[in-house]
Amino acid sequence: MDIFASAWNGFWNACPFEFCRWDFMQKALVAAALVGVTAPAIGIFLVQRRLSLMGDGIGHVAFTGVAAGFLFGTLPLVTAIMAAILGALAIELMRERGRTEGDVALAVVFYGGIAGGALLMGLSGTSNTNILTYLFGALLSVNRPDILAALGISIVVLGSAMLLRRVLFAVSYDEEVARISGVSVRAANLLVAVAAAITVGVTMRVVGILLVSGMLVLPVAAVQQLTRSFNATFVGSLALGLLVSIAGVVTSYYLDAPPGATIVMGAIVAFVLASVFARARAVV
Amino acid sequence: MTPHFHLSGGTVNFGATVALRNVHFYLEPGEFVVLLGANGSGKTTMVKALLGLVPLSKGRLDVFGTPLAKFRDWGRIGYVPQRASAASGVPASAFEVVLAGRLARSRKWGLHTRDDARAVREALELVDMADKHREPVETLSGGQQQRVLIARALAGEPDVLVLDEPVSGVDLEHQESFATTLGELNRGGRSVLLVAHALGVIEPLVSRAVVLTQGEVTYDGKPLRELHDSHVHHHPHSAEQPPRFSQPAGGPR
Repeated sequence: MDIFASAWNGFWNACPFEFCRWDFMQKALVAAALVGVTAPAIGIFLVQRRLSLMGDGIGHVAFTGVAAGFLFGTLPLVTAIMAAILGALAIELMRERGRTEGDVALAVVFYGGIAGGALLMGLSGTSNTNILTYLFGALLSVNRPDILAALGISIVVLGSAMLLRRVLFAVSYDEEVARISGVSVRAANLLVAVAAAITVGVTMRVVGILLVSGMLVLPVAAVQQLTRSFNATFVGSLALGLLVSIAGVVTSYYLDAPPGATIVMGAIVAFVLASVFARARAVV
Repeated sequence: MTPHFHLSGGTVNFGATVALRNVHFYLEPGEFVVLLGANGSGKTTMVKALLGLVPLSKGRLDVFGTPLAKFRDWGRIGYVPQRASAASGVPASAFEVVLAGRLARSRKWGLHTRDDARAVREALELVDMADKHREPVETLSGGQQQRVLIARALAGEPDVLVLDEPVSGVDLEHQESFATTLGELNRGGRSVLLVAHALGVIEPLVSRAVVLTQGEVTYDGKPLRELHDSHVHHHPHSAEQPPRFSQPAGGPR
């Protein structure tokens, strides 16, 4: 443990910037970096299936989970992830059954999640300040358990996305052909849904429920305008996710602004720059 | 020899609608069968039923001599679905799309193997797209996208190719080069089941034609000039019945 502690201290001591001296900034930077690389790794499969807003739907359900945590006096993060998983499975199953269109299924989950959250929050008498930290994130208050949870989830989600990339690509690209290649399409889709749900759970601590989907989708949306293959998009969006997360935290330190907002604004700036660059390249 | 597909008494219901009614169909090794019929006659439903993508309400289906529920050897089937475009939400290169068709013959985790890369290259060469393997599919022309999807079906080195209206929206010149490719694949030993709106340029290649009318097989036999004419020059969308022949649609004897 001493080795880790000295490595950790040594790393931050080597950092020439003033913000590296603060304990809360060190934790914020690590948490944001973990979320920054993990969220696009699962978001890319949502974008490919044209389900970019699924992350948002899951986030809204997570809000109900947070409220349930307050009501029952348990850790909001745990109930949020549980609710997010249930919401993601519900969206996936509604979509698979085909009776409800994907976007209608999402709409039901969106409004159900917010209404459920508001209801439970009201019953539990939670203060508005507390609610706001979940809606917009509370990166500067992340503690050691938060970081460990983010680390564990990053390893599991990134590991699954990389190990099963061939199957997840095939299923997101063409479900029917994947099915007659002997792939269990349902298992693959549920895996993406659950991975998206737990990613939303930890991302929520960093950028907040309302901006969660931005972290899943925006790095992919920016990078894909400049890439010519899935592979390059995958690698590029992880790198961009990492970059905007760190840049966003640093910017928030100097501007004294909420880090969730600066991270997502950074991703949007990257998206706009990529669009302009892609346009310019097409003209030339 | 065991037929690749053997469907007997196949019926498919979508709610109250009967999409396929008591269909008998088989595809023997080496055959080139074209499935004809007007829009809404049940061609796509029948193909999807043969592949297990649409459940049968009644009837029995054997694939390579095995009941569908127990069939696992998916690498033997290559499928080209009816699809307007090969583009998806995220860019994908022609190589990556074709590689996805290799899954049935390959491990499902980790990176692709050297053998996978070889099969993908060969499949792209067969459809004359080897030089475009790095291109993102959404920048290719409609005909080229179609050829990439055919290469994807070939990447699993299948014994049978099932193609659902692959030339709809492709110009005549490309239809002809497509027909040449299909003919070569068929002569190379693969059997072909092709869904088409009309016989058109593939007529010389076809060994047997099956006509569906409102979910029922109304013809099963030689590809006759009448079929060609009634589907090309008349009104393909009208409900007019193609010629009815006395011979029943039989299974293999």
